[in-house]
Amino acid sequence: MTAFYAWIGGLAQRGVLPSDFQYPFLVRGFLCVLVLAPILGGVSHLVVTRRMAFFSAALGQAAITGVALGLLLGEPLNAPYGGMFGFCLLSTLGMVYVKRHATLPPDTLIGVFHALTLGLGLCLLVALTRQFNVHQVESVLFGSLLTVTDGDLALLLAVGILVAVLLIREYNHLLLDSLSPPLASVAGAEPAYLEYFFALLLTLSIVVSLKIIGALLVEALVVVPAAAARNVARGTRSYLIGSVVVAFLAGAGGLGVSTRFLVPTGGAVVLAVSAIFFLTLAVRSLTRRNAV
Amino acid sequence: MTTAAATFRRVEVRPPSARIELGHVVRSGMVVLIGVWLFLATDSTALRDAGSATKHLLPFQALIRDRPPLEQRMFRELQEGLLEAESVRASTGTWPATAALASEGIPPFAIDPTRKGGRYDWSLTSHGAFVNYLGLPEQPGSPAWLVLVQEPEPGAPPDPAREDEEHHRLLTGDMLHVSTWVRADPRVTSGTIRAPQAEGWTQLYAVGPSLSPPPPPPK
Repeated sequence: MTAFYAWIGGLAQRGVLPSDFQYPFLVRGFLCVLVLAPILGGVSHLVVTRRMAFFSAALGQAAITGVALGLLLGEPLNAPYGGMFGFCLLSTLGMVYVKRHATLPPDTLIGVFHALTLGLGLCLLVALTRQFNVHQVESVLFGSLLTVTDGDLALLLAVGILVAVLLIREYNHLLLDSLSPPLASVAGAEPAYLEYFFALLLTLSIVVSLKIIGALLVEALVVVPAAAARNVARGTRSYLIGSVVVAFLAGAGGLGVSTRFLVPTGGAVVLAVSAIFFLTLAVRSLTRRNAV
Repeated sequence: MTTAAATFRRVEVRPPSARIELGHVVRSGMVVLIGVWLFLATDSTALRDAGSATKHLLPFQALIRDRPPLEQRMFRELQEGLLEAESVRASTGTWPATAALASEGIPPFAIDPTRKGGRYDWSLTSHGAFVNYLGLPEQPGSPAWLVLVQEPEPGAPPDPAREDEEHHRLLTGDMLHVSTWVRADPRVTSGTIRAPQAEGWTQLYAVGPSLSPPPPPPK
């Protein structure tokens, strides 16, 4: 990868690419955005259709506890993947099971999990700051391009391919189940399986994005791209493609803003995707007014 | 009518038994736990490097012991120089100019004819709470050096961080956040640098960000 970064850096110094690309961390960040956009954009419209926005928020914050547990188990601060994946996958299984069998409304149950995992995570993190410099933990909460390594990029690519393959395999059933679970059952889909399956895919997508977006803000990138695309989409295909395009534009735009103004990447990406959402909202209003 | 009826298909949709589903969930949870255990057991950084200082370094951070001898010497001198500058800051309320430090003979600001790696042009800049001591080499091929000091914002509550190589408490009680950076390419941007990591600088540590000695117990 060093030769690749040097080649890109050379292009940046010759003016072929923007000058910021002389830094390997920015090249890595851009590659991450290229991989993340299809993953998060792809799951985003299903998250919105299946009304799982709050579930995504709870998962992102469960990752804080996962990070703390990973560190307690001796994982490095820059890659506590065992703790993150383990705790988030277990939380997902627990949340989906309880949601399916409890009599309380789903958002109330997710709220309970949300509060529990966040409270536990914050207590553990505060305990850990006696061992770790608190500034090192900030990048976990808010995301930082500077902490992304080639190993993270490889993991992102591997998980991205896995999620894409599984999503494509079950896409029609998932979409049908999102729109009409009885119809999906008649078509041969198993709603319980699909619910667990999609929740686990979403968990993988969220956990692998945390280094860039941050635990506190990751849900924005699995909800807002689809919300923005829905404002201008005319069918399922354009909805899906729109979600991916919005996720890419927000990621690349946030990356640029983060580098220029030295703000956390997660915050910049969320600002960018929110701006796109309001832009599409305005476009939709104008289109409707003209149609009338 | 018979043909139309034949196209209908009866499908009974039954929810899975809660007990069977719980069994699947528990088995899946066990698979996750075993997977994490195997990952931790085989992850070299989690076990082999347990307690290692490099384990918790971010990609833009390095330990000074892994750097060339010339950089190690400059790092040591900068730590000494910074302590002198902090002492002046605590007594006068302002950061001393590099010329003043040089006139006191404080390394690395003072000219040292025996120094290998050439001379440096030191400057002091500040913007808000950020203070930079920036050293640019006069000889090509040498790295640039930066000591970044972040002072507490006026009116900010006391910093609860313990004193370590990144947190220095002045005699006035103010807690400073200090860091030492090196950059192989000495072409740096003008103005006060606030986030060196975003401009290709490498932060240097003596013992690492999380392995500083614990504070003495309160008396």
